[in-house]
Amino acid sequence: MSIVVNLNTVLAERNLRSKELAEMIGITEANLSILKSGKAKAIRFSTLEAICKALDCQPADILAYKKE
Amino acid sequence: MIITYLLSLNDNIYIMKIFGTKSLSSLSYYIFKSTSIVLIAFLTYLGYAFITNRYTIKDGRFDIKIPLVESSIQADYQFGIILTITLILIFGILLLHLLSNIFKALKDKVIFNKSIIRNLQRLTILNLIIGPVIYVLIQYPIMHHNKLGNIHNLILLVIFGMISLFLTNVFKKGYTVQSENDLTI
Repeated sequence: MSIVVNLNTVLAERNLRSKELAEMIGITEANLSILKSGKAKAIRFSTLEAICKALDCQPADILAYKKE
Repeated sequence: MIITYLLSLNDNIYIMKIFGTKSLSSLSYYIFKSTSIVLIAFLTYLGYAFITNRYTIKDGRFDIKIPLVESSIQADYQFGIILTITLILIFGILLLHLLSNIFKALKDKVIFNKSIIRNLQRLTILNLIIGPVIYVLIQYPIMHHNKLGNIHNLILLVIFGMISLFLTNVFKKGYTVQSENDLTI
């Protein structure tokens, strides 16, 4: 998939662990893992909003388009 | 009684549950499964009766007493007739077994699953390929008929096969949508 999820980078910058973020945004660790690994087919605006709110960032900081 | 029980499910709101546990699918699974087991037992008994000579012949017709029920099976004592009965019973067993598997898959929480697609594909093959082959075999090499007899059986097989072919593809689409939905975070 040409959409890359940079969640690991943002998490490292904020010194946050996946478990903490999952608790903050109210999704399971398994689902967060699917999102981080790029296996997710889609992301809901509500999830994206919760992530941006929790990490104090913009959607573009998490998602990027990469030409294949 | 069973129907009343099924109707009273869903928190006593009188709506029949179609999928999941304790539903119409569940009931259908048990009915088809038990019927297929009865047919297997019947076919085995027929084979056993012929091998062990537990039958009588009268006026060119064989007579096999069915245990536990006061009944018997009678037909012309010809190899073609016995082979036809055997083939039809085997087809019936396969059909009922596949139908029971389909209803078993409908008992799951998620009905768009791989099991139902696999069994619907098998049902399509059974009705569109195996069924017509058995029909042609019975009509010509086995019974030596000169014209097409019982053509309605063949038409029903093709209609049933076409329905299961379309259902297979509907469930394939459903499975794709389900997978995408499951992977939407």
